[in-house]
Amino acid sequence: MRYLRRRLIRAVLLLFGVSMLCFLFTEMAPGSFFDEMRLNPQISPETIASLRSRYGLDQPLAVRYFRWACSAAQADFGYSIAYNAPVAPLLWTRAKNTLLLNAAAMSMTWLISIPLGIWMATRRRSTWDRAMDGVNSVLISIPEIVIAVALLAIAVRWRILPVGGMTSMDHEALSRWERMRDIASRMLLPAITLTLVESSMIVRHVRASFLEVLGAPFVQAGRALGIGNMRLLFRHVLPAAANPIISLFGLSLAGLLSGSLLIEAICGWPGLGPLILDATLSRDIDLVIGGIMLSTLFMLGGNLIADTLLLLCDPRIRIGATNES
Amino acid sequence: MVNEGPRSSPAVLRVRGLSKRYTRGPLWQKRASFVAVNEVELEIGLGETLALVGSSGSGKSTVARCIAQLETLDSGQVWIDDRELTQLSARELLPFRSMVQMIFQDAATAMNPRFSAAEVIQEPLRIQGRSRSEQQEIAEALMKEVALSPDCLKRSVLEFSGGQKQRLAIARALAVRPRLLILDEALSGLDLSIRAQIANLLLDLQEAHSLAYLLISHDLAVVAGLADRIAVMSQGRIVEAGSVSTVLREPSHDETKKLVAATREAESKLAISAGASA
Repeated sequence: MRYLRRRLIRAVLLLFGVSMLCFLFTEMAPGSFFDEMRLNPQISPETIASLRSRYGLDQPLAVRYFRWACSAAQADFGYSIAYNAPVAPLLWTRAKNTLLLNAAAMSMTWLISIPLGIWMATRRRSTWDRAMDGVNSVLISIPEIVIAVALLAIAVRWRILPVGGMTSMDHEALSRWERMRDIASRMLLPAITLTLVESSMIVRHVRASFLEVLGAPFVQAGRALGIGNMRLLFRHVLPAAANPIISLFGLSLAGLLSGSLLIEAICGWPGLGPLILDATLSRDIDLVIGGIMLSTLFMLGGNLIADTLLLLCDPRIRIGATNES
Repeated sequence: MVNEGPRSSPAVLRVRGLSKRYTRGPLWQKRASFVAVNEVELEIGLGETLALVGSSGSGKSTVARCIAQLETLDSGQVWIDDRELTQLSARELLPFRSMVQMIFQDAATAMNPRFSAAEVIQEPLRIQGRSRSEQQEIAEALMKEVALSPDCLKRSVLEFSGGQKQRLAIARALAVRPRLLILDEALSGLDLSIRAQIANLLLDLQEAHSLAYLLISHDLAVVAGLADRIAVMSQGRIVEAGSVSTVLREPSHDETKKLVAATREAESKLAISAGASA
């Protein structure tokens, strides 16, 4: 418990650090939300100055940070100039869609990667292992944007799946079951893209972790004791090979919000991706910082969950944590 | 076949014409093949210890792994008592695997680091379908037999010292009542006093359970203390075999002469350094 408490305190400090750095870097970046207005001769410099003053952009950095911190403490996370609304509700509406997409993609990724990685490790250097490794290498070397565009082209050309958006035009008129099917069918394309990209990497890690343990003397001793293959794999090898896989799972959780930004923008999924992209291009600073803070929060949460799982699964870490505290 | 010398007891292990080769290299090229073990023949009797010695890469550990059926043989047969193991399918082999057990050099990696001592010993018993109370009873008895306290059963294997881990590994091997124990450099890496204690423990257990030992070692002092007969391996073949005293006193093959000379040199250096420090 003391170990986890210490990790939590560190996480809060890190959040403070990230928020300060965000403010510092956005201050250093050229341009502001009102720069485009300056080019419009119909808007006077006085109007722009009064708008800057209204949104507090004429204040020193420290004052702006303090105001933002107070707003964050009230769970608003600042104010979006573009949407003229507090940041948190804006982010949350989109984050729900992103979480839905990424949770589906992550489930598919792990459900495929773990059995496939184990299967490849147990058939090391066989034709199947080499063939799957070749497919993985191809998938890893192709940028995710190319995979997304290729799948999009296939879906449009052969009309396999609906593309663009999250719901069809007549979504509201559909029954509950049909609505779910409607969302699922539109989610499939970005989810498959994310699964292909992620699983090619995770399969390799699972395979490598298993191969390392499969050669260990305790596995050989288990085999000599007459322990069957399945029990040996899942009772003996899996727990021993789990550490890097759990760490990777933590990273997957951490990327729940940030892992799909590009794919969402390409596939037209109304998640955080298009929102953050627009906010960055228009210099809607509070919205950008809110997006980064939310991603950081997920990163810390993912790592904390991975650390807790490691603590529960690995007695060596438990002993180390006890000694530390 | 090299004459291994006289053996009085009935054979527990018989190995005939054991050969093993490995091929390496990419699929699209002509793959290099190298012979790790070539036509090895061995016999070990009830309550007897055969030492298999040789320099690194001579094929000792491959022979051990083939006998324990952890490697597939290219040719040859392995009998334990009257059971020919190499003819059995993986499924048929499972109930007979317990007849041959291995004790590895590094006891730390030879046990699942996630397990407690109880889990280490009870896992093979569970596979054999023993009840929970039987498992507990046998585990406690085995802990006593290898001079460990039964109170330590709940401790993680990580909390044991090197010597204690080796005792635990021996207890796990004994749990399935093996006929043959393969000691693959099992005494290497332990300090001298612990090595002597484990060697004595092995001798006691051999007497109590009529175990046959295949001792793999590069340390001729350990071999002289534990083994009845010795077989010297070089480049995958047994090049000399016989009683320990005869082979070590009058080595005939160059490989054996080299090993004996190296051991004598190490002993004399040890004596000189001991004299200097005195």
